[in-house]
Amino acid sequence: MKLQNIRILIKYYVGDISQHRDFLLIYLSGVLLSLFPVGWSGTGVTFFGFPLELYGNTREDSLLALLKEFCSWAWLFIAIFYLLPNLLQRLSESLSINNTLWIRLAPCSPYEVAISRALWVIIWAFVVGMFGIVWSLICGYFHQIAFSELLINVIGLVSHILLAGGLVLALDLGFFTGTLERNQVSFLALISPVILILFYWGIDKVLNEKYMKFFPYAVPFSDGLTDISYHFGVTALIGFCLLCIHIALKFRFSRVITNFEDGNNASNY
Amino acid sequence: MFIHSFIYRTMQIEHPLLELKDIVFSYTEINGKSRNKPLLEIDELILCPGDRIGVVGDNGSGKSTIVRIILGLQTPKGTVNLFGKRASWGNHYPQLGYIGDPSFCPGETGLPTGVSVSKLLDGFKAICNLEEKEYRDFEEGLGLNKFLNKNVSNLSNGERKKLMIFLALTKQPRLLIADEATDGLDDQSKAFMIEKLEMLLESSMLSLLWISHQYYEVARLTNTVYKLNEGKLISADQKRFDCEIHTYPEESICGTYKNLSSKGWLEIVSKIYGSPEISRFDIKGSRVSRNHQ
Repeated sequence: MKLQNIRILIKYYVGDISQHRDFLLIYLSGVLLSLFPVGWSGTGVTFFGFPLELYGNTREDSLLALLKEFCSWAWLFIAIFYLLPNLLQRLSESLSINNTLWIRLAPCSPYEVAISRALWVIIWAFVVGMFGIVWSLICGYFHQIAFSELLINVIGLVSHILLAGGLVLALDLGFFTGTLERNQVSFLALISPVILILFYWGIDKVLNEKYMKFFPYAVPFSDGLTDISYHFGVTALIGFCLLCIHIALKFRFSRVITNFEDGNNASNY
Repeated sequence: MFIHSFIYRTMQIEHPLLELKDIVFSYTEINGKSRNKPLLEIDELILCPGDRIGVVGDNGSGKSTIVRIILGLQTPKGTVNLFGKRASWGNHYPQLGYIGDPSFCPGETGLPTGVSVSKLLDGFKAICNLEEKEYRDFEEGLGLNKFLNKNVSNLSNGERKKLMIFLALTKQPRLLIADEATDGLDDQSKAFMIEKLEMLLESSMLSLLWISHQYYEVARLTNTVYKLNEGKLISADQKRFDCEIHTYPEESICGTYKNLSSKGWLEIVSKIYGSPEISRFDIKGSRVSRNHQ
């Protein structure tokens, strides 16, 4: 395995950070919106001076509830406008004949490509997670509230990215080569972590409650749901396992080369 | 080249670069059934190091399907070995160069989508560890600089072919599979590509599977020609001449043609007559007596 090849492929897949300048601007706007317009009037939370009700009684509860809601909206926004077109659709496109043929004829191994694709997802999750942590820290410090409470939604978004990305890559079995199928796969991967909660609600009453907290799902607007850190954690773990499965499946293929000078034919690497 | 080919044929006959045996293939029709008569029925096609095989055939005769089978994009009945191993869609073949359009799905081009030409080339050069002297000539000759910032998805047919030629030839492959490789190329790029390919064929043990519907092109680059007729590979017409053609001014059709058939000859003549630039042409020819099959 050549680390150099993986590095080159990651650079090729992830691309230039300057391409995401608009995301940085939106992120900064979001951070500013979470700071200065949000306040406490003494009786309730305010946004641009307008009192907002139904956000709890104490100062900390109210601010946390409002900021968590902001984070959930950001989660939805990132999922629809960034995760789907910039990661999931591109991941599914990377399974097409267009995108596999040229790389199959380049001097790299199938598992090197698989590792770089998996790292592509992990880098995405990591970067989004870091942005989320920075937002939580800033908000926690500015509003003097527990930032760890705000991290829950960030973990949820990270687990959403890992599971959705892992699903697309794990479905790289050579069947979904058409444009329509690839789009369907990326869309299904996007909504899967969310719709899993429907299954959870469906079997919640049937199965033992002790184990149900390990049922995977990742949904925004999760206030009121219990044990969500477990649900999000298991979701991230399953996503990570799917990425590993994608890499493992590629080990059944090989890089076929022939060395005529040595008289050896068909070596595999 | 013939000597090399002979040596490898006799010494390594069990491990040719490409081996198709007892191939039977047909596409599934819209109603879900296979056609009664297979599209391809190939008893044997073996390509050893140094071999240059040409396949000619009309549109829809199954030429591109052969390539798809070799690349592992279609699975036929029979044996398909590439570099001594069973061809598979998941395997990587760094010693294989491919120019063509797999047309697996409508709109699929064999080149990645959603990236710029420069980004693709940067990635490719880095992975292949190419030095500037190895590709500079190709970049200039094919005029890649003119569309470096374009998205690969928006390239014209000719630009796409130029890019594929770059990807296929700069890495100095052992085996080149070219499927209608000059289709859509301008005259200058076509001449450059053929000249480069002839140089590679002379200087390295490059083997070639050249698939085209143009007989003269196949005669120029290959020494064994098969015709794909009703799904079967048959030895092409043996009434041939080795020809040398010069035009003034020099055009892409200038060069040496081994085993030029009457069909190829007519194609060249029509090109000469069709070009308003050509003021004179010289042709020398001698009848081919050896049996190439």
